[in-house]
Amino acid sequence: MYFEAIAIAAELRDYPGGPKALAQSIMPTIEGMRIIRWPADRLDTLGGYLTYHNVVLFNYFLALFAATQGSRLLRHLEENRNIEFYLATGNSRKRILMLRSISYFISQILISLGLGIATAFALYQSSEPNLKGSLITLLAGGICIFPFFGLGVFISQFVTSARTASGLTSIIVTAIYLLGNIADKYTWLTWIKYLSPFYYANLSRPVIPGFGSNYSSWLIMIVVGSIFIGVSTLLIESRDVGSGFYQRAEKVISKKRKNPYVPKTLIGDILWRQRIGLLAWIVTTMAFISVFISMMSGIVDIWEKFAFLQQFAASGFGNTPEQQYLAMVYEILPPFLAGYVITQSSKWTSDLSQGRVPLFLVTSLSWSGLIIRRIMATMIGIELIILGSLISIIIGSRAQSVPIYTNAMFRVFVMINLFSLAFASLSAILVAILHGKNSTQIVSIYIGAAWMITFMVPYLKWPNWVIRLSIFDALGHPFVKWPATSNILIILFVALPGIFIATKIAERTSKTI
Amino acid sequence: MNNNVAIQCMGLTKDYGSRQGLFDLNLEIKYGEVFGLIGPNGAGKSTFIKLLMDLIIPTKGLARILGLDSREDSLELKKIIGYLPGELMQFPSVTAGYLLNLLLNMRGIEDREYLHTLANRLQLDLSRKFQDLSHGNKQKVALIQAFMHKPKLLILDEPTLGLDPIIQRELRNMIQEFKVGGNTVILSSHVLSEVESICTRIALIHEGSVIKEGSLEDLRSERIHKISAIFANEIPAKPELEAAGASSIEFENRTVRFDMKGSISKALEVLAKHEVLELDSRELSLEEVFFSEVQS
Repeated sequence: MYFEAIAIAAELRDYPGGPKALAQSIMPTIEGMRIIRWPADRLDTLGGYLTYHNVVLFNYFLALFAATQGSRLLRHLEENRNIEFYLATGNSRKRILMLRSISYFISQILISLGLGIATAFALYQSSEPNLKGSLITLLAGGICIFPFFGLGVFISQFVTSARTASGLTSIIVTAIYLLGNIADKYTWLTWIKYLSPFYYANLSRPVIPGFGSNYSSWLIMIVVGSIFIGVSTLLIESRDVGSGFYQRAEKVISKKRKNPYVPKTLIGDILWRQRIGLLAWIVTTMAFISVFISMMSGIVDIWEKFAFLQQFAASGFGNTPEQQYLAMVYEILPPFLAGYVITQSSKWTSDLSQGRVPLFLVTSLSWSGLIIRRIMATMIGIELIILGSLISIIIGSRAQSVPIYTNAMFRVFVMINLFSLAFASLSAILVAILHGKNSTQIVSIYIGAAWMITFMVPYLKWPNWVIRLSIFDALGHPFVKWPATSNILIILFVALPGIFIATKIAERTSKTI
Repeated sequence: MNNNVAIQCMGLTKDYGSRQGLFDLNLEIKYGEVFGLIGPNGAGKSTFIKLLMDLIIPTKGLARILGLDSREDSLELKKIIGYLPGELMQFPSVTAGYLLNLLLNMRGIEDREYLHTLANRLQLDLSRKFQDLSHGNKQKVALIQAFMHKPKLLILDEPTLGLDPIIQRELRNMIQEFKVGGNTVILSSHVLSEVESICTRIALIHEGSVIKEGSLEDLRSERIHKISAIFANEIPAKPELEAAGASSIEFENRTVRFDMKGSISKALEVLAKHEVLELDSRELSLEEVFFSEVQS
């Protein structure tokens, strides 16, 4: 955010016609994309731009975090049966729920304050200091999303899996977020914004010049969240541990599955056990791309008015506005696929920590064989996500009467496959070296940093070698052109010998923790 | 390597540092033996088993199993070894049947009859979700996967953990039947009475080293009897009892208590010279013997 703030401050300062002209020029695009990010106020100021661009998304992701934490708060303890230890200490269910809720709330406040300090720092470095406004704005987000935490706790009372509760709550959070963004566009939908905690969070945005705070909305949201938690305490006091409300424990125990489908291979097992997750990845990627494609015609019409267009054109992002837009859409795929690989590497780690690795290895499967099968399963998942994405783009392009750029799609297909393979190899090496410890976090941080520096290096005129550290730079923009041979060789070098290195390291390390 | 030796360890060592691990283990286990590893928690039993299974890499030394090298030939070995891990694994969202069938598929075994036979013997419902199973039932799943491919060698880490007495008895029967064909079993436990009831040879591991090893008969000869006698009048003198081999002699009024290692006949000869009102003799269990070894 710091680097982004510096870049945006420079853009606001240097834009021909000044900040207001810049804000006006980008407003149509922002309006076109409002379903994914809204509201947008005072974009002629850095505080306004950062709030629109970052804070709104912070609130959404914090809401997902809150929903997940709420869903797992007790249900996860019940799943792994650790709740029995807590209860054995003489603490009541109600007390455990309350203590854990308070712990969550404190952590949420600390996270929000941390983000507020980061925002204040970014503004300070860009000569628009606003510490108090930054803290209040981010704190408002952290507090006003409290009902989502309560909703997660509430929903988890009715289902027996934390994952199911978390999934259901996340869907509700996302639906409220998306519908809230477009609520003002349709009079029949306006009412929904009043049900949205995001709306109440947005009432307090003093980081934007001319905007104030609404503390009563904070109080209301805390009360709403507390009501959910209060009802949940009543529910948990009147149900069996480990079962859902309306569901007796004996029913859970007697749930049987006769003759389930059993895959023939480990690759089949990996894919089969995560079929719902994989489907979610495919559908999410397709939905995301479809939303972008659906906005294409509106945005392309006004594309040439943007200052940013010149940058894209100068970067060689195609010759026509449609090509440039599609190139931007394809840029979404690598981070999505990197995210998928990160989830896989997290599963590799849990295989080790949850004792599944020895069980696989005693079937006379070698460590190398296990790693290769994992990477193959990951690549099959990647293929399905890519396939879904390409189908979305083809259907979307047809619907928008835009040509299908076959050669460009082929380049994307080849390069994104190599990119994903390289990233999977890199993850496998890290898991092997670190034996699972923190490998997922390191891979995640690398991906975030690698993605950021592709934008930051040109903006901030850092030395060119810095950008060479990013795998995204090596990937380039395959929709537009093949990467340089040296970059293809870098990706190939990480991908193929990477697998070999991962297996060799693994063979020399313990197979248990 | 002797043809009769199923497992041979030569200087096998796994050093985790801070005196943790297994050190310089030299051991031979013969075909057809049921070999028990006994020791307190953290003694090195599981480390030894993981070394045999090539799950961890030895700091030095080597192990040969059924004529093959535990490291170089580990893939071949796993085809003929049934292994029960010491820690229960987690397998969310799948049934016990799914897991066991998957493992059979991964071994390339089509026949499911033996799997169902084992499930019936251990009274396991294969249609239940693994994560919903009790500790004991999860242990049954792990046991079945060790037996189901009809191995030639069983390596079982704490096999009776969480099992009820009836299933423990059934497991003992399964191990005895397995042994009948000349197959070899290694099992670890920290419950000596359990090992005593199954094993033909036992090793006591403590702080990473074998401090005692032998057949049950060998160990029995070292057993100690705790003897207590109440006399009507005169009691035997201490030197008299010591000459007969008694130790830890205590006197209380007309009661004498002492320990006898091995045969108690000499002590009985001494006692018979006096009028004995009551005589109580209790043999120390192997557990107590080993406990005193560990303490010493």
